[in-house]
Order: sequence, then structure tokens, then C-alpha cells
Amino acid sequence: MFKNWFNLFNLAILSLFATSSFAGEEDLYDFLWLDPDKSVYVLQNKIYPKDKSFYVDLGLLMNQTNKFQDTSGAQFKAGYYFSEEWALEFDYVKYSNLNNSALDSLIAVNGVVPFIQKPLSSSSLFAIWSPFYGKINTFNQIYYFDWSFGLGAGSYTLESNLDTVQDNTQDIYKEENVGAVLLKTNFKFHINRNLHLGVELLNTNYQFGTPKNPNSKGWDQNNDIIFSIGASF
Amino acid sequence: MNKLLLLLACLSCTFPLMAQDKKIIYKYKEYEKFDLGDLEIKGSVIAPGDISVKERRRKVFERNLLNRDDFDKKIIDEIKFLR
Amino acid sequence: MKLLLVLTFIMSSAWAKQSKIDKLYLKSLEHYKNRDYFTALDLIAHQYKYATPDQNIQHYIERLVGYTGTHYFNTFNDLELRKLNIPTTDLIMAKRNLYLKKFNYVHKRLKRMPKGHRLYPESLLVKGTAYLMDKKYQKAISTYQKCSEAAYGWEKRTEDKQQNYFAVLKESCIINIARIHYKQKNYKLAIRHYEDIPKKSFKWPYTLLEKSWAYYYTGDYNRSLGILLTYNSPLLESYFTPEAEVLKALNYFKLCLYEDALAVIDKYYNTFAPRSTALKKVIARGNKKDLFFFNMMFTPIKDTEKENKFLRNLVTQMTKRIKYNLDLNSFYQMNEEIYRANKSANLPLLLKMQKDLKEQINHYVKVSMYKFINEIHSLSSEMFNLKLEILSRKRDLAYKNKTFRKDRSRGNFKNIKREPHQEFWTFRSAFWADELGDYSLALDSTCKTRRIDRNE
Repeated sequence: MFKNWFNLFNLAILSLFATSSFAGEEDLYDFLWLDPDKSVYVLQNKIYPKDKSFYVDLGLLMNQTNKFQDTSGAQFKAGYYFSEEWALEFDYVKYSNLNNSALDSLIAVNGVVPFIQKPLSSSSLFAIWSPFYGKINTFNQIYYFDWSFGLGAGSYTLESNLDTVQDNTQDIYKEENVGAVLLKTNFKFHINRNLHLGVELLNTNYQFGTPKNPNSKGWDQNNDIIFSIGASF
Repeated sequence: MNKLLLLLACLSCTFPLMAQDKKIIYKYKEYEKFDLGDLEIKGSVIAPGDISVKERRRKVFERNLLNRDDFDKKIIDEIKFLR
Repeated sequence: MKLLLVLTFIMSSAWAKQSKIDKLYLKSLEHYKNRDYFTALDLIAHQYKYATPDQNIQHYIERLVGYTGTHYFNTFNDLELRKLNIPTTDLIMAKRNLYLKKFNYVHKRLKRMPKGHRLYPESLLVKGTAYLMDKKYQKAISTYQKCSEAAYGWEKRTEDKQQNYFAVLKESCIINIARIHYKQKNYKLAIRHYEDIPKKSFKWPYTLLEKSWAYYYTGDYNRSLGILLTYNSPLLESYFTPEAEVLKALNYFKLCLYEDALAVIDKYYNTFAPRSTALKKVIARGNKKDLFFFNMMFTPIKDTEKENKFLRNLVTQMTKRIKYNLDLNSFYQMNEEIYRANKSANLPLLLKMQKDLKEQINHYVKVSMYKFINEIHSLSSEMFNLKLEILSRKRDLAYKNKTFRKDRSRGNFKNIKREPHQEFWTFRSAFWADELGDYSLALDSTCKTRRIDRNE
């Protein structure tokens, strides 16, 4: 019984292959001219090599973590690729903050102001690693892109109402400068040899106090999505 | 004259008879041995100390396969194909 | 008194000669205005067969050559051309000296080529080649660089066929730089220059073979094989070259993949050699007909392909040559001048020139075809040589009771030599069009041997 089912299964699979191979032979461009007996690969010169090139980017930022603020900003970065995969980059981000509807509702309903952190700026130095590359075919044009990762350290300036949040007094925002460890990942789409577009996810990790433990500092995070345009030369 | 010659001939025949009087002892050559290690040669050594024979690299016969050293002929042809 | 008479006689004969030339110039100018360019050129050029014209007439002749092409001067011998001193004839004389390896005369002729002249890039190509043949490689490279820049400048400001001509010149100069590096065994530098030729250009298919040779000598046999595979593509069918097959077999030989090498050699003997023999018969049949090869160039490709597949390849390649296109252009210009039927046009001259041109085209098409057949035959002896070498190696292995360590596998990624500036893609039943020509195999070299086990 099992043998019959097995044979039937084999027949079904074979007939499937037979159909697809018949369809393949009719097409001149099914690459049979590429010796089917051997594996063939493509080794293509990069259209936009990065080695020994500078780049400068300007971007617009949207913050993803701030619960009580609509935080946006701008980013300026400049870097140098000293090999095809590795680069050194300097980042400067400037934030702007506005009370969002969640905060306004909370104040209106409960009459309390929660603990609020307002990022102001950050400047950091990154080591960038760019191991991945790809290309997409869209509207009959091929676009090339690079996918890179960065690890950096820098200073992160923010203001918060940590000192006054638990008191019933007026909120006073105190500016503080903390050290930060930053991680990022970036997609760079090449328009031409000198122009590119970028999409980046920036993760800033820093130590800060909380209303529960104002004197002891715990790790906190800030995530931003940045859309940028840049030039390479 | 003929008598003189005959006399000389007779005299020369008697010489071996006279020699046969001495006893000739025949000896075979004795075995001669050379100790090369014992030999002393005066001089400065300019060759390797040990006597050795280097293994000769075996000659491998290969056919001359196609080599493309340059494209000079193509360069000239391309100029001829211009006008 | 006598001296005065002699002087008067000399001056009057000179004056008579000058007035004759002036009359001919005016007559030629009239033909030019009637668009009888060949008649006009013949009238004026004949006067300067052994003489140097003044500046005005030089400019005028150059203007006429712009319409007629340079073909007219091919009929002039060296003595007739040497004093004409116009850029066109300077270039023709320089080329003739180049073929005779008189390099100093090449440089002498091309020294006065004006930088703004349309033949300047071509003159730099000839000059660079003279340096190259004279083994002055650095000078050759710098001259070829100037040539590619000058040709690029002209390419940007011309259109259609003229633009193609300058593009071909530019690419020829770049390729020649690569060839100099190749000759000096700087194979990686040569490859870098070959890669400057864009894939859409007329010369690109020819650079694949040279690039493959460069990779072969760097020891990257997989890459060499991958590039040669491009010639199998339907897009490059017309660019078949027998040397590519020999190089394929050599690459397999170096990887000790003797069975693959023998398969390539057998294919050469079973497919290409008989096809070339058939081509020879077709050509031999046509030899008896007048202007057979000239007429073949105007036969539809489908008909030529039916006779022999190689014929179609050769005709396609010939139609893309600059010389053929320029000669065809001259041919059509002559036709136009004939059929305009101006009373003043020199019809016997035009018909004779047209007949000469047809015979010239017929001749060099025939020579190209015979060269191709000869190439196949000479390379088949190289293939035979390689086959003998492979059989001898196999015999040696058998005598030593050895075999190769590994069996030939389909390919292993670790055998790909990837540079930092290269991107690597795998084959998933399809290649993108921009990847044509960038292929690489990944075969293991099987050259290490092992003793054959008794139990095998």
C-alpha cells in the first residue's frame, strides 16, 4: 500500500518537473547557453565604489520614543571611507520638541505633568561598517544601495523636569549633558556617482535618573528615524 | 763474408742458452689497498666537504601551447579597418 | 641681354602655369558649387601630385575631402602624395610609413596636424601606435590618453555615424593602453583599462577575449572561463571567435579538468572545423562570380545565414567596421553625383572610381573571410597540440598509477577570487542584463594527484 502511494507521489513530482522543463526549452533566454553542468556566479565591479571617498549628508529626523513630546530635528553627518567597507563618521543632531496631544490630555484630565525628557542635541563619532550591498530594478532602471551599521560614542544633551516632577511646584527643566553609546543602521540609495538618499535608524543609549530613583542612573534609550540626502566625492 | 754471417748467427743462438743459466722467479702482483681516509691532501677546501651527487632535475618535455604575448597585430589591423 | 631673355622666359612660363592653375581652381570651384565633389576634387588634386598647394587651395581640398571621403587618395602613390601637405594626405602617408615601420617619418608627417582638425584624434592613434611599435611605451600611453580625450571631445559635439566614429576612436585608444600594460605583463592594470570600455559600445565584445587572456595569465582560470562563456550568449552570437574556444580549453587544462578540455576540443573539431570547411566551399564557389563578396554585403542576413552560420557572423562584423561604412558612404556619394547627371560632371571618372571602390570592398571582404578560415585552421593545430599534451599527461598518470585527488565538482564559492571593489551575485535561473560579461565559474583545481588504491 505504502509502495503504491510512494510511486504515485514520485510520478506526480516527475510530471511536475517534466512540465517545467518543457516550458524552459522553448525560451532562448533561459540561460542554457551557460553550461548547466557548472555553477556560474557574477563578479561585477561596483558602479559606486566607496573606497577613499568623503560624504556629507543632511537629514530630517522623526523621534520614535518620546511619549509626551513631538520631537523632530535635523542631522548633519560627514564621513570618510578609508576602505570599501569601513568608514569614520561624525554626526551632529539638533532636536526640537513640542508638547504632544498625550501630554496635553494628561494635564487637562489629571492636572499633573509627568516626567518629561526633551532631547536637545547630540554629537558623536561613529565607526561605520558597510558589508551589504544590493540592487533593485524599478521602472526599468537599476538602483544600487548599501546597507551599513555603525557603533559610536558621543555626548547627548537633554533637558528634563526630574528635579521638580515630584514636587507640587512649577516645572523647571534642567539641561544636562550625558555621555552616550550610539548604534545605527543605514540604507544608502545611490542616484548617481555623487548623489545618494539615505534612511537611517539611530539608537542612542545613555544613563539617566528616573523619578523613582532620581539619584541612581539607569540606562535609557532614544530612537530616531532619519531621512537624508547626501553627496559623495 | 758468408762464413762471417754464419758465425754471428751461431753466436747469437747461444746467448739464450747462456741466459738460461739464471733462474727467473715469476711473482703475481700482490693486492694493493688504498685507505682514502688516511690520505692527506695539502691545500684549501673550496668545494663542499662531503662528496655527494645532486639529484638531477628530471627534464620534463612539454609541448609549446598557445601563448598570447601581445596584441600588436590587432592594433595595426584596427588602424587598417579605420579607413 | 641673354640673361634678361632667360629671366623673362622663366617668369612668363611660371605666370602661364599659375594662370592655368587659377583657371582649374575656378573650374573646380564651379563643380563644387554644383555639388560635383568628386569631379572638383579630381580636377584640383591632379595638379598637386608632385607639388605643394598654397594655403587657400589646401583648405579647399580639405573641404572637398569632407564630402568625398579619403578614399580618392588611396589611388595616389607615395611620390604623388608626399608634397600635397594637407592633413588628410599627411595621415595617409603616416599610416603607410607605420605599416613600413618607418616610425620617424610617421612623427614627421603628423607633427603639423592641427589640433582642431577632425582627423587629429586618429592621427594621435597612429602616433601612439608608432611609439608602441618602437617600444617607447610611456610615450605611447600618454599619446593614447590624449587621443581618447580628443576623441571624447569630438564625440560630444557630433551625432549619428560621426559620433560612432569618434566613440570607436576613443575606445581604441583606451584598449591600446590596456594592451601596452598586457604586453608589459601588468595584467591587473590591463584589466582595469579594459573595464573602462562601456558594455554598449561596438568594441566591448572584442575586449572580452583580451580580458580573458589577462585573467588566464594572472592564474584566475575560473574568471577567464566565466568571461568566455559570454560569447555563448544569444546576444553575442555574431562575435564568435575561434581563439575563445582555444583559451577555454587552455583554462580547463590548467585546472587539470582534462575531460572538460577534451570536450571543448572535440566540439571544435566536430562543429566549428566542418563549418569553416563548408564556408570555404561557399567562398570558393563565389570566387568565380564578379564582385561576389561586395554583393553578399547587400544580401539580407537571413539568406546569408542559410548558406553558412559563420557567413552571417562575418558579414555582421564587417558592417560595423568604420572603413566599410566610410567606403559605403563614398560609394553612395558617387552614386548621387552620377545620377544627378550634371552636364559638367566627369562621368567616366565617376564610373571608374565607383568600379574601383566596389573592387576594393570586394577584395577586403574576401581577405577578411579567408583570414577567418585560416585562423580556424591554424588554431585547430593548436587544439590538436593541446589534445596531445592532455593525452600524454593522462598516460603519465596511468604509468605512475595515480589519479587526481578530487573529482570535478560543479563549483565551490570558495574558489571565487573577489576584490573589495567587486560585487558578488549568485545565479538564480536568471541574470540581469547589466551582468552580461561579468560571469565567473568556481571550479576546483584537480591538479593534486593520489595513488590509485588496489581495491578501486
